[in-house]
Amino acid sequence: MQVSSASRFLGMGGSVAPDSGYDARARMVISLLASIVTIIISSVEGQLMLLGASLLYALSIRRFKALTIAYLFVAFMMGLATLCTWGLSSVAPFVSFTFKGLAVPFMRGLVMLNVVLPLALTCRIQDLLTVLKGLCLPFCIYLPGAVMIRFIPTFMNDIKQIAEALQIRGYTLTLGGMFRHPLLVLRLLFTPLLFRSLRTSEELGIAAELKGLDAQSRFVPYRSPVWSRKDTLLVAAALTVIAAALACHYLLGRAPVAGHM
Amino acid sequence: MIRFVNVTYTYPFQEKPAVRGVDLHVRPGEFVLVTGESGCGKSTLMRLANGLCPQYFGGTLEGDVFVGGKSTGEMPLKDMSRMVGTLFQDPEQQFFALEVEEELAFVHEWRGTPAAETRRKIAEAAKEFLLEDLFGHSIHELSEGQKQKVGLASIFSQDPGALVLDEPTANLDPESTVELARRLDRLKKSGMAILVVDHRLYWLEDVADRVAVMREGVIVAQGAFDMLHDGALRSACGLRAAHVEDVRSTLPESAPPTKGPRAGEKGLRVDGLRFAYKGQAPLYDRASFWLGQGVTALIGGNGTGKTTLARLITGLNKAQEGAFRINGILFPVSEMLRHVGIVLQNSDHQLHMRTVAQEIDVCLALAERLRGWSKSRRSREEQRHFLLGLFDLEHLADRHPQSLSGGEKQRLVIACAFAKKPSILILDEPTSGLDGGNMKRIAKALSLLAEQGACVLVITHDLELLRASCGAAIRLPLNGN
Repeated sequence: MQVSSASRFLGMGGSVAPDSGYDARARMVISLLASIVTIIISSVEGQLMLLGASLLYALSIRRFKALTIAYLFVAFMMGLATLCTWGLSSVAPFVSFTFKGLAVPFMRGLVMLNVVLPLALTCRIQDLLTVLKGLCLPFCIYLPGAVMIRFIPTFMNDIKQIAEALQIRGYTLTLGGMFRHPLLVLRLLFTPLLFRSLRTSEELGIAAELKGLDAQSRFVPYRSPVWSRKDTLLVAAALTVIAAALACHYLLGRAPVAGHM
Repeated sequence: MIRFVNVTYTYPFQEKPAVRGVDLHVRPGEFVLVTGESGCGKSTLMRLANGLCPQYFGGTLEGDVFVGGKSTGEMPLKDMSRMVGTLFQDPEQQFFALEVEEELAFVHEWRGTPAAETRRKIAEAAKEFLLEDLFGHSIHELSEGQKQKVGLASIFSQDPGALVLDEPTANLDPESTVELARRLDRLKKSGMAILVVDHRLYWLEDVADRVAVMREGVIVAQGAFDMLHDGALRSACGLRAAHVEDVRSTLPESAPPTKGPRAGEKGLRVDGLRFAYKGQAPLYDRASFWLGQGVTALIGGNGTGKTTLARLITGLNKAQEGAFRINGILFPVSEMLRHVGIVLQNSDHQLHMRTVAQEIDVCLALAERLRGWSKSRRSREEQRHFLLGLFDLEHLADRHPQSLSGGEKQRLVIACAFAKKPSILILDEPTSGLDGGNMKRIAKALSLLAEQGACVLVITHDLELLRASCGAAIRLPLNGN
């Protein structure tokens, strides 16, 4: 058995992918609701409520390593975005730069991360695809959606393998080194990642074609998803959090935040 | 069943055709083997047979490819895939689902097969390929050989009229290879048309009805399997041996010079190794082994833990217990990577620089830093030229590493590992998917490294490599298990 595995690395524990405990539809409903509400809410107070609740939701799947890595990656991207905005504002004064102004978009990103990770890491890909298919979406929307969901574990596995390859070569990536040689670090991390991602997307496209995924296919699941009371409670809890977040937004945080959209 | 009529195909943005003037017919109940050196157009031929070229990859097709009497240009890929089952060289390329059971069921679900029928088909396929115990496993966790079996099981469960297999045994152990040959023979006799693209020839001696040898996109020879016994043809077209002796049972066991560790002994000694995956029975339980100077093979069936052992030695996976001694000196696991080089099969993940030459330069510089060497620029350039020559990469020195073919990338990552001048080097299936010329090149390079005093451990199912370069063997399961 090969040692390196996305799921083990991602803290899936053991070699058998665990049952998420919730129906994929419940997780999808939560992701959908979160995506709508996080756009509606533009106050820090409301976003904080969403962020806290969604973080608890993400922690509940106990994939701590995966969550940490995802957060580190997002933190890195946010750092880059902050640097770019700061750079832009210093050369173009009409671009305003405030940390508070960036807070809401960043929190929106984190909320989505918190709801999408449980969806991607605990739900069976087939269940997600079944739900997507059941939504009767146009195939041109369905297929990219399915490929995106399928892409996540492979992408994370690639990150792990690239880090391991650097270790084998003898590179020691330190925080100081990242600042001293940012271009080298970017090259080391992103060159293989970029090419792997391009290759993965092509491979998934080929796999989809050869397995006969298309708009006209009649899909017959060999295992039907079961909606339980637990799923109803999860969605009800999500609705309660959304109501609380909206209340926070309208009661506490309606003052516009400078510099954000 | 599959017919190529004067086919010339050119990929988009390429001037030179990948295949030229190909005429080939695979009839129902016939088994045709296509072979040739790397980059000769074999895989393109396969993509033409399953319709991916030009339907998915684009490009220009001249001539006609017929499957079941219909032109591939007139059929959607979905319908083509029902008629032609395809196995890629890297089976992960064709997986869409994430778990073994789902992957086996996926295609049937999308074909509208009733659930009970799907269950029956995947149960049969799993039984046939001994995959029942892997049903709930993630495909990322499987060994390469297990992935190949899942890919094959998925195709076989679909009952296609024709099979197109690209290097189907690249990661299979010899026993599974023999079993696959038997299975293909049965399918052939039941009327299936089978087209196999492979570098390894010996396993098809009793199965292939016809062989087509390709060179630079053209079929240069076609005939019965016996023609592959012609040494001149094999040498001219970079082919592997048509008959290979299995030396696994005759290779001496890798034995330590003394029973207990001794200062100054040359080699790697591992004692009391213990490792288990979370929630599973121990894979290694107080196991011990010795890796001496020379080239040693690590032998074991698919999924027996060969790659795991390599990762434990290098500390990429943490052993629960175990003492690691190099040349008699005890090292903590965390320091093993400083002394042990390892080449895994994921070459895509290991290439970062702009050119092949830079990739090697960086490895030489890293090795100097690691060992505290101080070398002149000229000495480094000489070293780079030597490595490029040793692995036949000189003509690719200015190419971007990610633009190389799979075999070229494989040679480059091995060259990078050589740059480190490790006293211990572990290679995981270094010759899977390589043609005869490159297999010999790798074997020669390993022997050279061993002559310089290194201990080389090769994880391989490649009987030709075993015969060409290995002088001893470590067999799994290890003692103590």
